[in-house]
Amino acid sequence: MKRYPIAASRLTVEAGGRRLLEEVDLEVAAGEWLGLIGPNGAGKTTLFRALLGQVSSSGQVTIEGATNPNRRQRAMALAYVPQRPVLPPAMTVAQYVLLGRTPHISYLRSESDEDLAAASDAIEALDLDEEKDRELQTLSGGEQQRVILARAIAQEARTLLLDEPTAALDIGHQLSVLSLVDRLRKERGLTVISAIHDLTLAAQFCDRLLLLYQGRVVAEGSALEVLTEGNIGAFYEVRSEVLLDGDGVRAVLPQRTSEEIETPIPPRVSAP
Amino acid sequence: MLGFLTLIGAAMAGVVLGPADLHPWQVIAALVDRLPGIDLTSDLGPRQLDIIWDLRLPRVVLGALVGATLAVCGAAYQGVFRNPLVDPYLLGVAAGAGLGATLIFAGAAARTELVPIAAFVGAVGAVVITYLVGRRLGERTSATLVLAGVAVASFLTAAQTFVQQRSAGDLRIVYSWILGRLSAGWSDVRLILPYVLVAGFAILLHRRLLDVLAVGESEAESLGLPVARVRLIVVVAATLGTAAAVAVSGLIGFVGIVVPHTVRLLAGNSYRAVLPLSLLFGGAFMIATDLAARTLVAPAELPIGVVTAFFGAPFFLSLLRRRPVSV
Repeated sequence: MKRYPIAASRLTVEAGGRRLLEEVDLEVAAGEWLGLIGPNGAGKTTLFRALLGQVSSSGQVTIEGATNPNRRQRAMALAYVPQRPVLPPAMTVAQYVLLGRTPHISYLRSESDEDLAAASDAIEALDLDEEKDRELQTLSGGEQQRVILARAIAQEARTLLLDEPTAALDIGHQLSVLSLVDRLRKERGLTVISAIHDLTLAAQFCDRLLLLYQGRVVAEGSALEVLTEGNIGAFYEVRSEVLLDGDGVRAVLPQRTSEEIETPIPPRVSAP
Repeated sequence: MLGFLTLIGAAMAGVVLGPADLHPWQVIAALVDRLPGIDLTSDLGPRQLDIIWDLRLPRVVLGALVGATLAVCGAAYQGVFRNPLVDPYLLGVAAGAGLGATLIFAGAAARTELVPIAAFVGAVGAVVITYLVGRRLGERTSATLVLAGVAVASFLTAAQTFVQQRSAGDLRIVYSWILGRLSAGWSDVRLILPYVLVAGFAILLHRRLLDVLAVGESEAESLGLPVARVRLIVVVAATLGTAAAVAVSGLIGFVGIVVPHTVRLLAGNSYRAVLPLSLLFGGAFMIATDLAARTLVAPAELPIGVVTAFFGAPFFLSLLRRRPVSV
């Protein structure tokens, strides 16, 4: 049997009598980039939280050989970047990146030289040397995203969990952040699991896609296999055109529905 | 460094100045004389030496302990709850202590030596109730705990007011206790020293972890931080420290909010700086306000809680004007 760094079987999360995640099976190979797609509320963030051990779940999670690992083991293996990370006021870039070293420092100790070196290596890798004494709030959105990635890199976990890393960015910065993730993945041999709304970007960057719908995996495979007009119609309830490019998907174009075109949006202020 | 100098300066002023007309140099000479290996004559009579050793010095030491504790515990609570407006009385410490003290004043007025113990028990008891109620309410997030604290505090304050109204004769004593005062004498210092030392030590040990907590509970947890444990230890330590301080000094307000924020404005938000500096400046601030409390209208004394707010509030506002506070 092949060993996967991250695997889950029959992972189920219930909250308030509702199943947020239902018997999800997951296997991610080392160095792979897995994209989690699916409409809002499909369970992408819940899946992250279940892998991180932050929600109670049934089923089994295996992370780097450890079955249902403890908090520290998870923190050593998984670096999590939430959709809206908290950027503490008046904290500098260097201080924030150093927080990534938390799992490596025993409870009441302070950082070792090794921790400081790892943090400054991460700052360098994300080209933040000039920014390192600036306060987080003074950075632009793209710079903040780089700082957050730097914290994840400083954590030296082998897998990055990225929840919508590009949600707040313009298309230029979306591309540059994803290219950066790709470069770091290749340079450092990282595994990446990212939730991503933009299906075109998902097709272009991810090796494999997992389509979640109402807490279940409804499609899994290459972009070509998952991003079909049928799947997008069934699970996003959107008519779309999928542009192919040789053996891959080049773009997913959502179409305005015909009803929408026939019934124009009523004007906001009606004439007297 | 600046913090140390401020504390030492304030302590010197606290010992040297006072209504009994002693010459500052004589006092300093008397103090230095006690140091091993140094022999200075201070020309002070035994009665004056007693004033220094048994009245002023213990009061300064007590002020430093109470001020440092309230400031550090305030900073710790602000860190745990990630809320700049939190003060050390948040989880019901003040209301519980007030009820405990009032019960003694009203029910066993002859035994006022029990007041600190009753206040301490009341303070700790209130926080325990808050914690249990907060847990029963479901999700163990800090927000539920804070709201439970508000409810418990209101309830206990109502109970205290009720007891107080039933024994109107003690109103004045209770009132002056609530406004806070520092006693002179070593017994109070001995009483609280173990608690404040343990509390201060435990909180300072967690200074790095409070910085990690600044990214929020969920992210801190994903970084491997045992959030619930850190929160419990820091809250227990801060509660013990605050309860001990309140037990001997009454409800001195404002120190737990103003001192940590002043430190943040001067030295940044990292708890590695905020906690130790709060300790030093809190002690210095309390000595200075106590000095004002007992000299401004000498030979009478002002309640120290009035002085901390009267001078602290405008000072704090002037700092805020220069830079808005954030946590």
